[in-house]
Amino acid sequence: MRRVAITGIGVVAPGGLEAGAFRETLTAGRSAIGPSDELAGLRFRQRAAVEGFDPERHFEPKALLLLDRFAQFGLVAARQAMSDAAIAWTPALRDAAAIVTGSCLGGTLTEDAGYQDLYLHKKPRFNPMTIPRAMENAPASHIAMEFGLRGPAYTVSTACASSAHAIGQAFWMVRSGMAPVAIAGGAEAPFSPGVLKAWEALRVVSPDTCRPFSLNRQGLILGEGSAMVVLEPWETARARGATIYAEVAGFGMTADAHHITAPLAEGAARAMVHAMADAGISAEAVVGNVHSICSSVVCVRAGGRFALDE
Amino acid sequence: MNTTERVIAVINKTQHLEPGVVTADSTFVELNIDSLDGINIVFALENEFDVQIPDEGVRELRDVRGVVEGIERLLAAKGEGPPAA
Repeated sequence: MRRVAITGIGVVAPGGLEAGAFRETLTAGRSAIGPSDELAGLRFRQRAAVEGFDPERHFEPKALLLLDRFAQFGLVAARQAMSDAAIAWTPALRDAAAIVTGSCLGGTLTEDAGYQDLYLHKKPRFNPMTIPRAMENAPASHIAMEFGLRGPAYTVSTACASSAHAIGQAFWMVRSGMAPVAIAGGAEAPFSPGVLKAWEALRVVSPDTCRPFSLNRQGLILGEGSAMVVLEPWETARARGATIYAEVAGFGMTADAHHITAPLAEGAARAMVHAMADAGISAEAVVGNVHSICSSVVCVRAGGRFALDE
Repeated sequence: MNTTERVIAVINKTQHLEPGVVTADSTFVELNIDSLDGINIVFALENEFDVQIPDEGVRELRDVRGVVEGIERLLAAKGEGPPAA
């Protein structure tokens, strides 16, 4: 089986509108979480919003008719990643390239606007582009069309894990030889009035900020944005002199079969064990170099530290 | 119905429990009510009593008596019913 390298990165995030600016925000330790007037009347006051993103800088007006905000983020991040990877495309490569994106909610802003038209404004008809704008796989389809990539193009939707699962699927495809190159990541833009009220009702959003693993944590913070990576065989990347940001060595995924919102620590631990087995490396080899991602409040409360301990 | 009876009726309805199972002395642990059940109960209580129950209050709920006391405080605050002792 082939080794897999990451050779392109694209980001549209609250902490920066491209990968370099985002990296700077991270390394400087600056938080992109802040208050917003759009949250007036809700029990939580803070969110992580993408500021300064001008759709018309990136897309023709006609193209925007087909693009919800989450798909705009996804397509712009994909453009960055593709430009960064600078692959020498051939027809054969384009025919087999894979695209796997993740999204939990898809085009919720488009849906919400449609329902406001229907229920509030009593309009007799919907925007005809509502379905293609709102579908979770819209970013994957638009990436395929923009770059002429005609291999597998699909979307996984697994709540907070969607993008991680998407990268894992793409990694497996490149490693097995099923795809000679893949673009993978996720996109989300969930700040519609209806979705914000739904999160308020679930009572898991922090009244102040998000601090995973902290003893006095109070919940998660909602954010929007997109990140995409280009994955290709290590040898191909080396041969063409590409910048290799990282190697994806292994991937594991598990389900707790336990509770719809409260994860078990041992479930996360099993996923890590699977990932290490998939990579063929021992736990000792990764101790001290662990990056954990645990996005939900209940996940952090129930899982985080204990899963890593195991 | 008094506040306690109304709270118990809401819990019975949301949890699909037979009358008599939930009493004023029941704890959520005894009733096998987890955090997700709790959020559903709080949602139903907000509708039943037309009050807003704050997140901090929800986290502290452990038993039926605590719920009743909390609801009575919220009702008193909006000028309905006797103030809590």
